[in-house]
Amino acid sequence: MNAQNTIAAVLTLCILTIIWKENPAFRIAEHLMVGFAAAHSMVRAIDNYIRPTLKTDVAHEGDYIALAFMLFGAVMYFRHMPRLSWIARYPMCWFVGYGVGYTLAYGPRPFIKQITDTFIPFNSVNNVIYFTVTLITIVYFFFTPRWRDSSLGKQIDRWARRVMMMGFGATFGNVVQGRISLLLGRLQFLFRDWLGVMK
Amino acid sequence: MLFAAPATPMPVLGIFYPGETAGFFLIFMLGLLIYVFSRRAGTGKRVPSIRKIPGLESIDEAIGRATEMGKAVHYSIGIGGVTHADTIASWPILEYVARTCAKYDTKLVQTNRNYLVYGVCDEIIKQAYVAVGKPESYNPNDVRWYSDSQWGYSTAVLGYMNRDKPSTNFMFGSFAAETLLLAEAGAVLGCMQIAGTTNILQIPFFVATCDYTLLGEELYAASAYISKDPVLVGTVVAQDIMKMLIAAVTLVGGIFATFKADKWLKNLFAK
Repeated sequence: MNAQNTIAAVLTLCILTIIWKENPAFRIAEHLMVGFAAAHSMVRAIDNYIRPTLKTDVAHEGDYIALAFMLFGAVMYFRHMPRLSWIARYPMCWFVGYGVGYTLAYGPRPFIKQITDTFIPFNSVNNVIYFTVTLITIVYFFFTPRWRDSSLGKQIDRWARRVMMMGFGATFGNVVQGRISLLLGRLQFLFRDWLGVMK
Repeated sequence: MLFAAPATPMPVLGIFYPGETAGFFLIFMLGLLIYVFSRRAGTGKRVPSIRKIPGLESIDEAIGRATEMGKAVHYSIGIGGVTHADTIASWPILEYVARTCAKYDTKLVQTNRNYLVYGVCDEIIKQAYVAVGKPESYNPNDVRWYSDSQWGYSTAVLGYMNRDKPSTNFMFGSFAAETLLLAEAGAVLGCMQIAGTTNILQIPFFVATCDYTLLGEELYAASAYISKDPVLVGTVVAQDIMKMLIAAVTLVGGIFATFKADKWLKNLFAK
């Protein structure tokens, strides 16, 4: 039982007390978590982005465009000055525009893979089920055709929801299994690494 | 030479990198369809309506509940950055929620993990309060950036929800492993919860814990559905046509695959 493990174990127990109710022990752990996470991301930003950019890109390689973009990013802090907060909208617009552009450029690739993976021969029951389920699920996400209100449209909706729920059920079970293994890992830490009562 | 990195492939016509060309044409086609249908709607031609999405119909009811109970509305946009489509799709919903909360003087607490998303959300909420003529009701402390860490953010939201006990919990955006932590907290506290994400690993948790869940792409149709703006609805019609084309292509691909003649079609999409 070393000091590091004791701190980790006590904080684990503090966090777990939320199962009972919100209490000062949870609050202490929560604030420590948020504070440390903020400090960690700040140090990470300085060490991984700001310092290398200034030292390597700007000072050594003379890449002043990087410096210009850093300053452009820093303009976001104007939002804390009420009279000049409008200036902060420019880098924000840039980031949102970049986000939309990035999504458009790299978004289709995984979908194309999904489309081509659906080109399967209709030579087995499994393949026919796979294809039918894929097709009715796509049809479920048609939002505007008028025939959706017909009895056929409603039947397709019903079956699409059913098959999706089956899929979600399988996913749910799978993810819960993963969570249980995380809990077991934590219990192992508490009982074996910290208390030493388990081999 | 065994460990040499593969050479960068040459772009087709100097622009299209192998593997991206088909995607470019799909996006180009979608863009064209959106342009055509938006213009059609803009010139006053009839645009079909979007089918009922119960989760979005209930947003007003959820805010009304918070107003009657005199409690806050919590809105989480998830943990995605500005490049995530779910985050972008969540903004129009946030704007609608903020406007409605401002109209009824209901406290809205919005929490963020990403600092860039936080900046945009803050602007959206501020503008919503200005738009309904109540700029003085906007409280910058109610738009919060908690932590850059996924679990730091989740712990902070968990703490906030247990202390302030909001009556309504909206979760629209990109969510990952923290989904159940946030949604379960809301369910235990008796919040009315409406959520939406496209992450199929997390939708089951929303389905299990929320009153209404937007399944996958319903989130992307939300802005058009809420605003009922014909131009935006036109974009949904264009997306539907694209989906119909894709459904047709999968059917054709399946038929070709049955006769072992699908290679050329696969190659076409791999370009």
